[in-house]
Amino acid sequence: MLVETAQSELKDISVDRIDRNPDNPRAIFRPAELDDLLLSITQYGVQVPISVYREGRRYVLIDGERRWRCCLKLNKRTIPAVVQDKPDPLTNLLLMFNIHALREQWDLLTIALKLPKIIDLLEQKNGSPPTERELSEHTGLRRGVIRRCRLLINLPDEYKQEILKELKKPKPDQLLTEDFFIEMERALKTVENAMPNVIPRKDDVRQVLIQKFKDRVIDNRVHFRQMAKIARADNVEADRAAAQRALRRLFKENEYSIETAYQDSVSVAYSERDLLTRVNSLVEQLEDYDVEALDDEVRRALRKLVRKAKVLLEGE
Amino acid sequence: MNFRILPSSLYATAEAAAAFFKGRIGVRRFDVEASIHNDVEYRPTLSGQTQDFHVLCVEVSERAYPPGLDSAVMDMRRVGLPVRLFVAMPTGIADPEFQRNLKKAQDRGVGIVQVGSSGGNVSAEALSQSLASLRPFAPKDFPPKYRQEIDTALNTFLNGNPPQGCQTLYSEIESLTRRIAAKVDRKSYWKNANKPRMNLDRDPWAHVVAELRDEFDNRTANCPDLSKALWNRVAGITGHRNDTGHKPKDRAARMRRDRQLRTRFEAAMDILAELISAGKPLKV
Repeated sequence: MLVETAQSELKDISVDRIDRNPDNPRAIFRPAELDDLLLSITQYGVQVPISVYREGRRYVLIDGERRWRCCLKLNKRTIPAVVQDKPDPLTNLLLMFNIHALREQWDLLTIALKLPKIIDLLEQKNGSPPTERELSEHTGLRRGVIRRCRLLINLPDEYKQEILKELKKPKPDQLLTEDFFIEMERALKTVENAMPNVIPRKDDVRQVLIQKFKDRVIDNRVHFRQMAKIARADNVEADRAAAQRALRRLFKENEYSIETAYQDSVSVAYSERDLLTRVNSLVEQLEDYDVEALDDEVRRALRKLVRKAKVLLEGE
Repeated sequence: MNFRILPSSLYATAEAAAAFFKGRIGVRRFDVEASIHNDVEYRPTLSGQTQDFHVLCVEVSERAYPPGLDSAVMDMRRVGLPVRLFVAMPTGIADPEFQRNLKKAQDRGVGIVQVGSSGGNVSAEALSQSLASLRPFAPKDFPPKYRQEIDTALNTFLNGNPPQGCQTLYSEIESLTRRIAAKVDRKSYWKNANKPRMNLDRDPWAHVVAELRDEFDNRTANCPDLSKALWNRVAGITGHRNDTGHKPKDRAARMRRDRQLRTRFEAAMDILAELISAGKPLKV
């Protein structure tokens, strides 16, 4: 963490003199999470002080919004708080990222929405935009998380709103989750790079895929990985034209699933490549064996393999 | 409305709940997430004053009985606050433990309403917590012929008309007293041979009770528990028989009145139970 430490003091402050931090990336507070903490505070009180900075005669939260909300709910007069010096805007954001992102699972979109501001502030400070590694060091986020955030940042606004709407629901009730959009966007990116001509208008394709997911024609978001594999047909020397036909149908026909598109286009080629990889690996492994080292069970299995291979080869 | 505690997913429900209760109960203004009393460790989502000096509290939640409400209800009762507490849930959201929570809410006098843009649907009515803290009484603990009246008295009391609830009980006690007096008279269980010179059906209840206290021979009647002490306790409540009281003029007056009526109701229930039990040998 590259945040400079500041002077601080611990004191009980009035809950009514505290304001939430407008830069807090955590935008969604689910009722169930607050209920659990409420019970804990009722029973044990606030065990860990919140962090605030002074703003005139009031205080602004750095860390502990849920604890503060619960204390308000429980009509507590005061809450223990570590009062810090007012940080500059960049430090303010980075403090919260480092406090929260390492400790608990935030909703990815809420982080993603704040990242551009951090990137801007770091660029102002350093004169050049931060690299992914620098961003990771400053925010405490893993580089993989930053890449996932970028996929979400680049989504059109209407989809970001859609995700925010979903995030307000309890986890089990969420359908169009961040993970869904991340899987879909990754796959679309691969398709765009490998076969740009099958996606005339990306937004139309998104709409079709979202509708299919809602209708359970696509019943698992992981299936988007098969969509990317269809687009990479060249890698397994599959019929490119067949792959393009399957993708075009997939982006047009409401009942056509990714699994079917995969079967219709590249499934055999990927199976063959898989078989080839295994055979090569087996051959490599066998080269390390002495005849005396083979026990009966292995001999029997090898004989079976030879028989099967012979049948296949003689059928050519 | 500016919320600091409520999760944003419930803002629309809170707005709909405020509109619903303004229309239903006539609360003019709602405070948002405000303290209703220093000794109540809970800030309901909405609170406002009704025309009859109750505090109407609305807790907006996805659950029919959110955790944490129990201690709030206990605080309200301990303080004796005339609070009518509702939980407002969004329509269309299913609480997986709705039936259990509904039962819990009803047991504690907490109302439940489901609200949406098209209005609200009340699943349980809220009782005034200053009355709902009444000691629990079960009509089934009384002989069958008394149960209906006791049930009526309890419901009337808890549903917001405590003077009428008390009246119903006093009426039952008076009726039993007069039946006992009539039986005593028929069987001549008086201490003196002379029958009392009074109309046991028509003369004031207090006079009948005084006569029983002073002249009833409970040994001959084989009713040792219909003692002087018990008649003195009955005499103590006869003064409240027709006391309908005045409408409270502010919240403090309501709190005082509710506390007084709660005590009266509990005392009357105890007296009725004792009188029924003590008078059993007379078969009235």
